[in-house]
Amino acid sequence: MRKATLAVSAALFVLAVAYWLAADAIPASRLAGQVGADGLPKLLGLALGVLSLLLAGQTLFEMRRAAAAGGGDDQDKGEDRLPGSWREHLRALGLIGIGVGYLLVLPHLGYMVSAGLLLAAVATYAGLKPSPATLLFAAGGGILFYLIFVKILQIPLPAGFWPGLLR
Amino acid sequence: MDGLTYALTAVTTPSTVLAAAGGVLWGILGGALPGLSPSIAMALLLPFTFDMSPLAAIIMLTGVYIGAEYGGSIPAILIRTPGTNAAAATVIDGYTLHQQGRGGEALGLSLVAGTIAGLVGLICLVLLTAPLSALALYFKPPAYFALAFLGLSIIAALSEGSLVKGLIMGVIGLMVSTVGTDPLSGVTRFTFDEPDLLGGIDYIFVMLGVFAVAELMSKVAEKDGGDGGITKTVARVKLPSLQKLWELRRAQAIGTAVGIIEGPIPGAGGTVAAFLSYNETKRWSKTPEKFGKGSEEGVVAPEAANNAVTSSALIPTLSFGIPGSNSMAILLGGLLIHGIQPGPMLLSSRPDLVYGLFGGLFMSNIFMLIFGLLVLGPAIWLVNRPKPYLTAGIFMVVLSGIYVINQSLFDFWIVLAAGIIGYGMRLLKFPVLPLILGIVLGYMVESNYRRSLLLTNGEHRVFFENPLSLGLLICAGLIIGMAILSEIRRFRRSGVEVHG
Amino acid sequence: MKHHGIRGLLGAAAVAASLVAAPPVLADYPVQTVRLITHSSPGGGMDVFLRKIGQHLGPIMGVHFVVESVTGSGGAAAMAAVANGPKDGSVFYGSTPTHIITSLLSNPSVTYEEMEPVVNLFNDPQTVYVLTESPYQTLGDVVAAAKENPSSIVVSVSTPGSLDRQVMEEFQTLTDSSMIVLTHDGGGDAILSVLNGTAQVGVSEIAELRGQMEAGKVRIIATYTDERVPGIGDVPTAKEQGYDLVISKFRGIAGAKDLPPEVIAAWEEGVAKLMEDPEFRAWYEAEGLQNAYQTQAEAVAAREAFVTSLQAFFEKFDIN
Repeated sequence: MRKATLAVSAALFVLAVAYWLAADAIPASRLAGQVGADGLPKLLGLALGVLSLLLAGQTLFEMRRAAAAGGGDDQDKGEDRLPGSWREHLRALGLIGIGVGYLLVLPHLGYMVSAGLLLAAVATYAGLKPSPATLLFAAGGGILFYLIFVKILQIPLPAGFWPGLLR
Repeated sequence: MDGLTYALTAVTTPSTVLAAAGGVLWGILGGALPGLSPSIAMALLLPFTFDMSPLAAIIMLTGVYIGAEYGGSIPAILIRTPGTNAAAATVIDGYTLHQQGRGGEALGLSLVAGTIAGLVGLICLVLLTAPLSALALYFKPPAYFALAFLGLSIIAALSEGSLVKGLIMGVIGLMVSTVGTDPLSGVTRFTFDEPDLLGGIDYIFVMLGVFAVAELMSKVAEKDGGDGGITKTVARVKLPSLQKLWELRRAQAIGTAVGIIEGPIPGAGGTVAAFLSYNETKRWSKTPEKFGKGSEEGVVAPEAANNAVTSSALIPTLSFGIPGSNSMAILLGGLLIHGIQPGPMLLSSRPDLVYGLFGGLFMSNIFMLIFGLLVLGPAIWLVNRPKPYLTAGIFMVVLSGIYVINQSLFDFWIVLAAGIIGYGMRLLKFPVLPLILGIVLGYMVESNYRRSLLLTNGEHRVFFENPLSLGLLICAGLIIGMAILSEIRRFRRSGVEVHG
Repeated sequence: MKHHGIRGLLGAAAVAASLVAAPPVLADYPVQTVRLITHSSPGGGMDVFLRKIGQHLGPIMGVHFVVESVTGSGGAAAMAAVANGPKDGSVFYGSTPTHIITSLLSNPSVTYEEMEPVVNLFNDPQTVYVLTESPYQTLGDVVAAAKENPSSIVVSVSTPGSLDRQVMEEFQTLTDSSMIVLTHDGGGDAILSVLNGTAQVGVSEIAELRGQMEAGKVRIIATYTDERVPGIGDVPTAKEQGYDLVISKFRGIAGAKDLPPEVIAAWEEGVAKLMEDPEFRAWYEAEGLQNAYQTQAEAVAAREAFVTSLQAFFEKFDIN
């Protein structure tokens, strides 16, 4: 976990620099007042830079202290491990993947069908054995969500290519 | 005693009673759906009020507002998804209680605490409209800045374990809040020519990502489909006993008081009130160590606060005709469509309406208790479905609700990205609340800081000359100082343990 | 109760309205239902305005109007919905300066250039107001105070990109005075700043001030209009007071480019009649709106002039 934290502090430092540079590019307007539109952003960029260095320093300090206290400290080792395995994190990202897939098909297949597909995909992904019940859940869920959001709440969610078929 | 007569007429007229009941029920359902904020729930219902009498219309709209502010706590407790912005603070202890199998108790506490606070807020609205509306006038830019800064100082107190990590998340939250149009000059910042970013990043998207999506990710990550650590399923709602309520009186009082005071201040609103009261209750609690680990007080305080706000937020809207939040702007719109101009003259020109509304608010709070109980049963049934179905259903609700807000596919990407970041934050033990506070308060801090300096030609003295601002800044200083002290102590102690 | 949805209900209401006042007067309009799109949220100023148009213009033009609000992206989403919609006269945009300001300040995929004004209806007068007990009676008093003690006058305006902000910046240049222009998140907050004494002077539309005016809390000392505005007491215009500033905050209807001529003609004729409709007139005069009817040709010319002045302003103050 400490190694990961170090990596994150480095990433945050890069973010801070990038943000500061973007803030520096904000056009100065005469109407912005004593503190310009770039005032707070630059301060924030600076603050994040300092804080990311502090985090790195704190983590390094803890690593050294842990090493000094003896590498055989089991409890400390356990605490230091990142919770979960890489397999698990990949599984977690898979959910986002399904979400991205949903967003990509939504404009084409329309809300009702996309919703059904997403429900089936996530339910299967979360451990449901594919069965007629899955199909029923997807179809019923797609229709239910369609009724709630499109028919009752009148939210103009994408209809997809279906209306084009009727022309 | 005319006022009482008007109020009694309102509570005995079938059309107004129905308006209150319908409004509250719709509000609870809308508030419980993530993405449907109280203001959107009100806007969706607004056209239905055009044909009603003005009194029924305003009662229905306020009923939606009251119901929605409560409804947001239901998914906050049951699925770690704040249904409304103001329910974000409820997630922490509410969801933890649910994981401990005490979700039914948490739901009962939230409902009862909200009802009590709503009723107390109503009494204040009736008796203290004049002084509370004066409060809104006292708030000038320096005081607004100080209030927002006080809110930010809570970051220090809420950064469990690591002050540096908390501050980092707070700064990132503030960075998110700078996206969009500059509050003073009107130049655009960090929008990368993307029109969807022009209005900034709505914080409900970030909250849905870091709370709801991150939670779903953790659930699917576990091999068995994950049970989210919930050991026992909740059987039913459990209302708190009188004795329990008495034990929690401190949290209830702090939440209610903070909510009533924050309500009339334009721009502050339920979210800030919920966080402030959560922090204050923790500070004055006899068992502060339980906060974050399933504290009942941690549910009562924010829920009391955001329901107390629903009464007192009406004050500036009715007495100045100036809405302090999006919800109140829609209420104002509803009144204007009926040809009613809220403002200083409203009470003398339309006492029937003002007192009738008070009667309506009373009914709405009672209906909230009744419908709350009715809705919770099905809600609990829903979260007890097998995990794969539940996970799919929640993900779908989140992905549908997002679209309601701007009707733009762009917002989905923000939520998914926030989900990944939220998941990473959980792994590396970065606290979530500072991020939310930064986003919520960033705009208020920056715009009012710069307005203050504009007014004084760059003199910082003004923050200490304005008594309100000075008082709030001293409070903020105390919170930060105490947090730094405890951080130093923690660091020393951990060093002693390792070496000793 | 909520099982019909907004649009369905609005449609139904519009149908009902058009059935009640039956006789369609004008030549047949090519479509039955016309959608009026606004970027303002339900209950907002533009939403109410379009709804009133639908109510009174429906019978005149023999169509029914449905008001839709497409919020988000400072009006860019609503503009896109109109410009990308069918070009048969079935969808229009409730236009105000906002969509032009958004087009100029950001880079939306659809800008005002993809749209064309159809007709303009109103001018929303921008007024200068002070607290009732304020020592300032005229714009001259304000300028004198600002010259005597620079930065003693704080002017409360609404949002940074708004016209009321623009007019006060130009006012300083014109009078060679220096004031503090305090921007807010909206019109309501701006009025609060005057009420609590943070600002000495405010700029606002009449509708937003109405409640405070009736309570005798504020009074208007000038309007940035060509002629005096009825219904607010006999307030002289800025021009009469010797400051040649006229701001036109137009409210009108815009559509996609190159709409069929008969559609434009129907709107021009219909709105010309609408402006004389006694009920409609009573409503807009109570709202403090000025009749500023313009045909398409006039509205296009007015937009060109407006864009030019806006661009000049943004360049002068380095806003982009």
